[in-house]
Amino acid sequence: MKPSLPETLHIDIKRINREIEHIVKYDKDVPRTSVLARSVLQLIRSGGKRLRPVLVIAGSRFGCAATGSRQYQLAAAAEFIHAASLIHDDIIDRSELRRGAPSLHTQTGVSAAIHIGNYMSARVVELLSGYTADHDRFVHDLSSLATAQLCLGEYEQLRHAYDYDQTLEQYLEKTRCKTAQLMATCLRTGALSADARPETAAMLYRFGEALGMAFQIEDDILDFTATAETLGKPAGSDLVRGQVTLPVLYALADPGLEPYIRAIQPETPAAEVNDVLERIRSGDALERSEQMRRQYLRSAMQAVEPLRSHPAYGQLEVLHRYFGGKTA
Amino acid sequence: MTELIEKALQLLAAACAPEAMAVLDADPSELKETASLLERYAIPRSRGAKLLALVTLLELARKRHDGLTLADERLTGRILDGDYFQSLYVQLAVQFEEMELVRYLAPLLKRHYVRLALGEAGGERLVVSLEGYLRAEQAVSREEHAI
Repeated sequence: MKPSLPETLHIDIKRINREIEHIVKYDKDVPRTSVLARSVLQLIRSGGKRLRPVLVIAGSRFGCAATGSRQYQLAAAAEFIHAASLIHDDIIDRSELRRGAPSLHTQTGVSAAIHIGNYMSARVVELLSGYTADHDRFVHDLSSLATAQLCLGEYEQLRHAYDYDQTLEQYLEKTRCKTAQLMATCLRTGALSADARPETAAMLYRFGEALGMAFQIEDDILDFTATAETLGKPAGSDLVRGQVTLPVLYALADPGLEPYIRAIQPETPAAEVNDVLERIRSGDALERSEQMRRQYLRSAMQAVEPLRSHPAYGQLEVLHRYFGGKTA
Repeated sequence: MTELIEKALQLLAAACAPEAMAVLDADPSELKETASLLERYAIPRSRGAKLLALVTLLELARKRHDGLTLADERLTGRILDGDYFQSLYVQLAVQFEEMELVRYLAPLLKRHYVRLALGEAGGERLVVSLEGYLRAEQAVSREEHAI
């Protein structure tokens, strides 16, 4: 069996998972058998690649301090923030499935799910609020700047739903906010938490941002190429929800495809959407998207070229291979 | 007091990203109670406006996320607004160097959401929490002065 990303990076994934669970299990304000505790644990245990915690730990290896409990706590906090955003995302998207299982709000109701997400965010703020020293200010990027960017990305997505005149720049900015900046912040936070030099942390941020962009573009492509089983949701969901992703943007440039795509609106029958999906698949939009993805992967490595002689540089190569779609 | 409220609302308007679709619709009359508390505790005007802005963000976030259902026509906007106001609160607190306030309020805010998630009534009103913070802060200041 191929080693997983954490195994290849020599990251103790069990410790990360334990640390994530401890955030709720050791919260004396949450009754152990409550629907709140059960829901959070169920969501956390339902899987997920743990990419954000992995990025925090990988970043910490560029510091002069050893990776220890502080870094694992920050790694767990990053995953908690991501998980909280997924709860609210599923309500916004009316998604009934998350990782192939019923999404949280379908089990608890919308109001409770909203507040479970709020609890998770507030719990992270509580955990990180112990860092009040000036030199620890970067820690709060996770629960402020990166989280605000997630919201701004969602606003952009909302603003441009079924907007077939969206520009490439607007798409890239939305993607940067929604996906790339949290990943970049994870790497930088990990690095600074282990006393890495600010220039090193800044390079890692740029690396993480480019990888995050490549990651999201791959996700956009998979919406056209993967099966529902692999995705954990129906294929073509983005198009159905009016999300003008990169392949759709490129397909819109094809005069033969453009009118079919523009005809897709909230009430368009599934058969019609499937027909458009097939037309997009047979054009060059996916190949062009793939080229853009590779361009971001190249930019990622260029950003960290000055770190080539660093003992932890190999971690970045592994991450690059992973995000590049090759086996780690 | 009106000046304090105006200043707080100006701070918020300047801090809110133009891309955010959130409307800062705080009702100035509702801010009066908090503004009056800040004056009672003789908080300097410039700091008072910052504290009022922070508490207003939390209040707006609570209101946006209150009683949401799938039938709500503004569901998406209300979820995003609430999330955005909460993250902007931390972001501004760091900028205003008010992390002690964040530390004091964090467990109270969390317990508020725990109660709501469990279907119970929410926690104490934010103006009450702020008064607790100001009282604690003044007690520390008196102790330091005595030493």
